[in-house]
Amino acid sequence: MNPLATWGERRRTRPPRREPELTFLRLVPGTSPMHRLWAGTKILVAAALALLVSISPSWAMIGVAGAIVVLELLFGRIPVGAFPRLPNWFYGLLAVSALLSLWSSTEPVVHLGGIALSMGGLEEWARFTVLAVVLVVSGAVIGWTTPLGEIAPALARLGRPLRWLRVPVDEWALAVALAIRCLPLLIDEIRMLGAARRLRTHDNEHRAPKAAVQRVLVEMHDLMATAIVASIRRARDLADAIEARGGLGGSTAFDGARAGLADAVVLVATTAVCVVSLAVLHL
Amino acid sequence: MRPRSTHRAHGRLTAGELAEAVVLADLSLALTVVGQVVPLGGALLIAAVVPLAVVAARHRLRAVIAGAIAASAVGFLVIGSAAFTSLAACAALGALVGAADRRGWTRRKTMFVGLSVLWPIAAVVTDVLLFLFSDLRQLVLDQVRNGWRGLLHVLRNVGLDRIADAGEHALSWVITNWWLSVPIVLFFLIWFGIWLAEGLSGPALRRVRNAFGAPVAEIGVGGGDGDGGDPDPLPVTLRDVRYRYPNAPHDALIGIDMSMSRGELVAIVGANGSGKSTLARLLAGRRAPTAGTIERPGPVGLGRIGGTAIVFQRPEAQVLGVRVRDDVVWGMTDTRDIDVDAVLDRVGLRELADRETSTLSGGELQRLAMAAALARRPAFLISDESTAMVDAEGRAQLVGIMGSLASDDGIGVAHVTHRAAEAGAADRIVTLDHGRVVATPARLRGEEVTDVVHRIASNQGQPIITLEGVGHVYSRGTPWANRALENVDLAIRAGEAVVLVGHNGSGKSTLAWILAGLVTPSEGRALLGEEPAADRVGRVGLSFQHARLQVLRPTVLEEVRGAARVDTLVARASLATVGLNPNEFAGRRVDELSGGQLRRVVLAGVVASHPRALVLDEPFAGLDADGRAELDGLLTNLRRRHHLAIVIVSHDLDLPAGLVDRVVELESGRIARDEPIDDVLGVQEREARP
Repeated sequence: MNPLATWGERRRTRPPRREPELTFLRLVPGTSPMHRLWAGTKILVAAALALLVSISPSWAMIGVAGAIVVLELLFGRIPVGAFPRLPNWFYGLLAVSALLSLWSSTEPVVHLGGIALSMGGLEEWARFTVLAVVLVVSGAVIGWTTPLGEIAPALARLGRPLRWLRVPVDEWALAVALAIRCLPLLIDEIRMLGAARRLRTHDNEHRAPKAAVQRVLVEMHDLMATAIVASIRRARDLADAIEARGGLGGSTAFDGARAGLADAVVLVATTAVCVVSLAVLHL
Repeated sequence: MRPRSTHRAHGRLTAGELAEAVVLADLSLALTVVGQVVPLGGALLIAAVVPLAVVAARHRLRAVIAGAIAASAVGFLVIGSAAFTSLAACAALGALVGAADRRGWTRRKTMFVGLSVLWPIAAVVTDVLLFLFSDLRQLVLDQVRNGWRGLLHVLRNVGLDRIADAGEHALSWVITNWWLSVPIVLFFLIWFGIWLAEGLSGPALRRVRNAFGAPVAEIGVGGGDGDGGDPDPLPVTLRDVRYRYPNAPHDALIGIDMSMSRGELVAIVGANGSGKSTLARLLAGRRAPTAGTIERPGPVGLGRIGGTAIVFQRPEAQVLGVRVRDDVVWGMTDTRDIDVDAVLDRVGLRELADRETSTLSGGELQRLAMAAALARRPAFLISDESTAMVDAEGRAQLVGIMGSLASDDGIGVAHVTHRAAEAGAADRIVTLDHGRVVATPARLRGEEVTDVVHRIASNQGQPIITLEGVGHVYSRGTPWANRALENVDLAIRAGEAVVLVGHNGSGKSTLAWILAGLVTPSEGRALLGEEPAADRVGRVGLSFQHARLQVLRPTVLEEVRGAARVDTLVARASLATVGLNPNEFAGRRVDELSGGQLRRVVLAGVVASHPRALVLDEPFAGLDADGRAELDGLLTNLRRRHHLAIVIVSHDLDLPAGLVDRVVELESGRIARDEPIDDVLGVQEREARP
């Protein structure tokens, strides 16, 4: 059951369309070479790709990163349906920004029937958008192919060197584990709050803009305060549960999964591809 | 005077600090993610500061950092590296606003401190990053330039040439001198951010302070008796124990004398508010008595091997692991000599060892909590109302397990409950009333004796809600597609009372949301009168099981007025209808009410808005015998006087007799039966006879 699905369900009477829905952090059922990799490997790959395109956001590097992401998707057997479905106005806003870039008079400019269209602006807009998409998908694919319980232990192990700098890595790993554990409960609560707010909408509301703005502001404050009070109560239950298990003393970042040969191959290959493509571009 | 936190210790975070930091940081993360994909999401991005400001106001900076790190790590998997910048900014602003609130700074001082501390750091870090990643900087700045030029082009076309020229000029200066212009922009962004964050956080911080005060340190694990020595909690003897909560006007417990030893199952029975949960806390060593003595041979050892274990009331709140197997050993240092499968077998969950905990039912979660307790081989097990939120079948299983733990494993089990029926299995019963131990009556007052049958002729008039061939699939078209309902035909008529029963995952919650118009079914039609139910949200009242999420305004009267959009007079009248004296309750803050009282406040709001029908989700869960009788009377009254159709969603048919007249049972999303309740109960009685 996906709580986020209700976002778009208001006032829609035509059901056959798929509703807007965020599908991050949900394991795609089944198994695949990607599913079997160690979670830390996948995190390192995503970080490497982010670094690569940050150093050089050219089409060539975006292409390399994009190719790696596509490989990940193929090896992870991710169906098209797994991608998040965004609401229409999101694409609308994207189109508006593309339109503005077209009018930006950045060279080269093409004249089409008396209208100056900036191809340079459009190219930069496209590069920026594709880069953002590649980065988001490179992170999302981790969530699609990794059981949530394996992420925090992997992060703990990756962060182990930081212990020498007296950074409280274990505390943070514990926090990540709890954050992942609490997210479904939180999403459920947000869904409930949204429903509670909708149940109060009445037909006889005054539509004066000023009153409406004021109402929205009061509502926002109320919803925020209610969400926070409910969260603190839940945090207390959580703390009770932790203390009933003997407190935070024990190590909890128990990493059952181990990095294997496949992980080594993937890491070496990714590093090689990144380094080589950067070198080729800059020499 | 602002209350100051009583423990601002150094060193590792306590469980309470970490839990609050993480849960609130999760809320920040959710707002950040939604802010990225929602129109005008910028407002939400700045709202994401508020939860972290609350953390900072109540706890150390270390907690804010841990929370922000956790949220960014999770956020990285959702929106990529944008999560880092976004949450770092939220954490910085939150830490500032929280600290200002804690120290009672004026707005001017907050602004001054913020700009003089945050701005230089932000400016330097941003400039260095932009310098290092020069190509990315180029792309981003070009992006800004192109967008602006496009806008200027629009301005020229509408004849505002002079503004456009000036804009063009300024723009090229900004782009060439990025190392200077970016910090200048940052200065104004931070200034605006602090101003907004203060305004947004104020109300939330006030309400949190009213609801909770400053965080109070619980006695550390081990019950204040230090970690010295091996735990040895039993036998325990209480002599003339008295307990009063800090700032409370009355004692919660008075003159308690009792003892417990190994191998005993003791039921601690009492109505809501009789002090039985406080007694459980004292037994667990989490509170020290105000007067009197508690004697034990050794330390309580909460959560330690051979010590004390507790199972709490709310099933979903106690789970710490993502998978069943992980949850059993969560928090244990040495897991090598623990046979997880054997422990799970003991509570009948062996087949579920690799399932994710979020897919378990309430009863299964409570048994999992018991398995986690058993893995620590406790000498003393405390069940603090662990059966209150579980269906009849789950309750029977839990009580059975507790009985065998006492008789077979020699564990001392204290089972706190408001259900007299469960006490029957105990070796001994301790009955509490208003904080005192009273003589256990020969025949316990239980659910089975308080029910008075009252018949109302149900009106077989016009249907109010009609479902025609309704089906619903969540996440349709994704790998997670999940059918909740299939081909449901149902008509709810005026004045009728229907109970909707089914197990977890049978689709009854989805059906309830469809009846209330909150979910548009993906197949078939849901009609309220002649219109689609989804177009008339609010005309069917819905009360959640977890009422606290439905009460949005800070005081009772404001809540009822806001929920129904009625004036004070009507709101007070409907408070009286639901049995809350308006003179006593109208001005009360919602955060200080009990769960049962909150449910009534919600009902008052629903009744005042004159709904056509009323849907209640598990209204009797967690209520004691008196609470059940009162709610029963209230619902019957609503049917009789207001001629409302009532739909009760429930795990089982354990309802006051005569309240409902029709049973609709769901099984895997389909209606398995739809009959008058007399037929159903009649069959059950016949089956029960030997």
